[in-house]
Parts: sequence; C-alpha cells; structure tokens
Amino acid sequence: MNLKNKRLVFYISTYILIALFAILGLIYNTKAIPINENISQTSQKLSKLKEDNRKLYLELHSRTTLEAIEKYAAITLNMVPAPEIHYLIRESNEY
Amino acid sequence: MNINRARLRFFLICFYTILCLIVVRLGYLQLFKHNFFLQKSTSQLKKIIKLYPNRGNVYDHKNKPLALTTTSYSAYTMPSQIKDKLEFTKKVTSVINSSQKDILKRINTRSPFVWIKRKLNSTSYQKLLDLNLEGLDFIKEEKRVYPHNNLAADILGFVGIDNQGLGGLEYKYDSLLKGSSGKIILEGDPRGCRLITGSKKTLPPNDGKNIITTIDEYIQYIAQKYLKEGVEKNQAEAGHVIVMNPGTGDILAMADYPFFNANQWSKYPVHTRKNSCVVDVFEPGSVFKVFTLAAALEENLFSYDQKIKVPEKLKIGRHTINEAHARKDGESGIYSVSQIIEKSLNVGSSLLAGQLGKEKFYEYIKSFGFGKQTGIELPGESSGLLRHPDKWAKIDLSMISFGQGVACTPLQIATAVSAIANKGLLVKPRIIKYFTQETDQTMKSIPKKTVRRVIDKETALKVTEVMTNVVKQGTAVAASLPGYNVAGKTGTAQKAKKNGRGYEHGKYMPSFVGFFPSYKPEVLILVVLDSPKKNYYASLSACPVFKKIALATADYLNIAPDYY
Repeated sequence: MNLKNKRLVFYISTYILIALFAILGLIYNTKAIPINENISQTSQKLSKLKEDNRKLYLELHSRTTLEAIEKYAAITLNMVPAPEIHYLIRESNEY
Repeated sequence: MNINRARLRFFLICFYTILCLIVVRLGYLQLFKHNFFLQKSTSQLKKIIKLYPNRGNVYDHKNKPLALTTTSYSAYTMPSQIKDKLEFTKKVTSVINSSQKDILKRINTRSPFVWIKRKLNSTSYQKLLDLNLEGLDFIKEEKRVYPHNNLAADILGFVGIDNQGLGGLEYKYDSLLKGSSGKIILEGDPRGCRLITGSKKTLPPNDGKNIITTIDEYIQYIAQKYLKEGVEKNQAEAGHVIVMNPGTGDILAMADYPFFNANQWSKYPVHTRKNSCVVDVFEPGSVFKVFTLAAALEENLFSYDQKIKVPEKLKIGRHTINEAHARKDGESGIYSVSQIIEKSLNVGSSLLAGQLGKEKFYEYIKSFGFGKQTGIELPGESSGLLRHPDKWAKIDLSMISFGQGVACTPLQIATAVSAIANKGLLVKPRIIKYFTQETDQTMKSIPKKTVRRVIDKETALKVTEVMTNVVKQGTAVAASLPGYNVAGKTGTAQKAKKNGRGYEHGKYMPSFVGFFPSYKPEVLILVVLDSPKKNYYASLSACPVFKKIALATADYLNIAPDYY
C-alpha cells in the first residue's frame, strides 16, 4: 500500500472511531436521562412522604394531648374522675 | 516610491502597536484576572439550590414530642404581575384574616416582592391555591408547632416568624436546634438551565439537634392542672410548681400560672411568657426555717428533741419579733427544737439562728445554694438576693432565720430542700438529659452532678424527721398522703414591694415544699401561690395543691407506700 492510501485508511478509521464513540456517548446519555428523571421523581416522592409523615405525626400528638383525652373521656364517653378518698385523722382517745 | 514605503511603514507600526496592545490586554485578562473570570463563569454556569435544614425537636424524657416542626406555605406576590389589585385584594382577604386596606397598601408599592401572609395553615393555603390568582405564589417554609399548646410553654419557650428562638430552651439552644443549610450545585448554561450531562453536587443540610428533656409529659400536665385549680380556687394572682427528683436533680415538671400558648405567644403579655420559677424572686418565709434548723443541728448547738424556753415576743434593738398566731392559753412556752419547726415559731427560729451567729449562718445559706445561680439550662436565671453579713442590720439575723430579708427563686428553694432529702448532698438541677441527631444518635448528654455535701447524713435525717412531724402533727397536716411519710414545711411570707422597701399590705406568698417517701424520697414538690385573696395560709392554699399533685404522681410513678 502506498503512503497516500495508508493515510487515507488512517483518516477513515479515525473518523469511524470518532463517530462510533459519539454514537455510544449519545446512546448512554439518552438512556441516562430517563434513569436520572426516575431518580429525581422518586426523591421527590420520598421527600413528600417524609413531609406527610411529619404532618401526621404532628396531628397524632395534637389530637392525643392529655387535655384532649380528658375532655373526650368526660364529654363523649361520660366518664368521671375517680372519687377522692378523704381520711379523717382521729386522736387516739376519740371514738 | 519612498513616500509610499514611508506610509506603509507608518501603517505597519500603527498596526503592530494596536496588536501589541491587544496581546498585552489579553495576557492581562488571562493571567492576572484569571480567577475573577473563572469565578464569574462558574457562577453563570452553576445553579445553586439552597437546602434548608429542619429545626430540631424537643421531647420529654420518654421521647414524647413537646415541640415539632411542620411544613407550611407562605403566600407572596409580585405586585407588577397583578392586573386588578382591588379584585386581588378582595379575593385574598376573603381567605386570610387581614384587612383589605392593609393588603392594598402593601401591594401598591414598587417593591418586586411582597409577603401576603407567612406560614399559612393548611386550610387557608388550599383555599388560596384554589383561587388560582395571577400574581399570587407560595414558598414552602418550616413552621414550629407545639402540639400540647400551653404544656411546659415556660420551659420550651417560643420562636419568631423566621424560626429564631426567642425564649426558653428555643432561645438558649437556638444554634443547636436550627442546624445549618446545605446546597445542590448543578451545572447549567448561562440561562440557568441544567445541562443533561452536567455534574450535580449535593451538600446535604445539617438538621438541628433534638433535645430530650427531663420533663415528664404526664406529671407536667398534672402539675399545671392542679396549679390552675389552686390559683383559681384561692383567687391568687399567680402560682408556681416545681416537681423534681431530689436524688438526681431531674426536673419532672415546672409550671408557672398564668400559662401561655406557645403557638400564639404574641397574644399574651410579656409577664406570662417568662419562667418565674427561675427568673423571679420572692421571700420564702417559714420554709427557710428548715435551713436554720439544719445549720443549728450540724453545728451541734442543739439536739432536735432538746427543750428550749421560747418567749412569745423577742425584742431586738427597736424591733420586736412576733409569732404569726397568738399563743393559746395554757401553753408553757417550752418547746423542743422539733416543735419550733412543727409549729413554725418565728421567735424559736430566731433563737436558733442567734446561737449560730451571722457569719456561720451565712456560710450555711450559701452552702445550700442561695445567692447563686443553680446553673440550670434555662435562660435568665436569677441568683436571688442575699446580702453579705457585713450589710446585715441587727434584726436581719432573726428575720433571715424565718425567711424574710432574703429573696430566692422557687428553683433555689426546691434545690436546697433536695439536699436535705438527698441525705445532705446538694445536686445540680437539670432540665436537659441529652441532645440527639435526627437519626436518634446521642450527640451530647448533660450528666447529673452532685455539687457538694452541705450537711452530714445524720443531720439530714434528723431534719427529715422534724419535717415529717410538720406534716404529721404540725402546720402541714393538709399535705399528708395516706400510706406515705411526707416531709415538708409550710411558709406564709409577706410579699415584698417591687421597690424593695417594705411589704405589700395584706398580700402574702404561701408556699409548701415537701418530699416523699420521707426516708427514701423519690419526688420533691414545691408549690408557691402569689397573693391569694382567699386562704392566704399555706396550710389552706398551697398544701392541698401539693397533695393533689403528689397523689397523682405517686400513682403514676408506682411509688411504694411506707405503710398500709
């Protein structure tokens, strides 16, 4: 093969290699896009769920305060406080 | 030809000069201004998204939440985007509780950004969202919420609109609770759009630390409930309760009536928002006699069953010490040291202090922690008022022996009495157990601390026996608990004037401090009422409050009775 042909082969193979890498890169990026999109959406869902969890935790504790429980027991369940026991202290010579 | 050559030469010189200038300028920009332009291009090409940290929560010692953070939305507008401002105002004010005049004034400005309302509740937010108004938008923010409203509000404190701590633990530990913000650094084009293949660096925010307190939610609730009842029943101006573990110094409850709702703190006057249990001082009155007794017994000046002749009045200089009650007919005037405390005799305690001398007595008072802050992890703690003996008048030794002429906080009294309960060892009160990260990993704990030995164990036991007699047969019978030996002391002190000159006429500060079971104490409770109009004697006002709190606490903590 003369020098001119060798040069031609070299240039063509270089161009083919570059084109191949470019195509591979493009394929990789196009596949990566939906995956990244998926990750981003899942992260957003996770943050939203964490947020909802915090809100529910807060609502649970706001509704189950001791004051609210006592009120609910008294008004809705018609419960009454336990009767108080009064002790009389008598002197030993008294009956 | 020569002229043409000269012209060409001239032109070339000019050209090369300009070229040199350009090259020099280029070199200057590339070499000397390299960092400047690199930063500029980086900032243009990078998009930074700030990540806000979550404020740390506050829990009781059983990890029940006392202060939490939730997401809320704040409404804002860019006035230039509003087409019909009047219509906008009408629709917005139909949802939020603001005057139309106020909103209209705010949006009629040249300002590019105007808040409509910060931290909306979920209902208002949804209604505003449904309006779909042009020019109205929302920013997500964190909102501090106290799910139990006024429970332990004095201890927790409150936060401002930007979640900055303004009182209580929120203020004292603001830097730990707020955490630090993070950021996401994205590579983008100069228009701010993210590059598909661009890098993404995330620096996560450091959420604030959580605080685990020593408070018990149930005991705090009980203390507040019965304190409120006691204040209302006795028509007092205010009231304070402290419940603590005398052995460890853990504060189980600290209540200060009137209460305030930490979620709406701005609606309450300033005086309700401070924690009077650590900030305000008062003259303790007869409660102080236990320290006089402890000092006299420790110095072996008396034994607790030793009989002493106690006159009805005691003249010191131009002043006369009187008893609170006139003596009954037939009373001999000879009392044991124990009876002096049981009957709360002012003259008797003056005699005890007189034997001690002012220097010695002052040393013991200081040793019990008076005149100095306890060091509890709450802001604004007062050290009380205790003058050096050099500044005492002749009458002061007697007055201080029964708790007048000295001022202290409720916490100082509770801490000092806990030294008696704890067999003579003074402990440092604590309100925080430890700090944790969001992952519940403990970061830092506040250890229990024994400060010093104030009195011997034997002296402490003798004082405890005398205090137990006070409850069994003395002035505090109303504080007795069925099945338990209770050690305590009543106090009914005159209320000092705010200017410190004399006392308010007809106003008293009844108090009772007690611990039980006497000889293996698990709980110490202090109750103070401020200026009750009904029942100003401690036995009728403070003792019943103590009893209710004590019974509920004993039941809750399963404290074994002493006898059946």
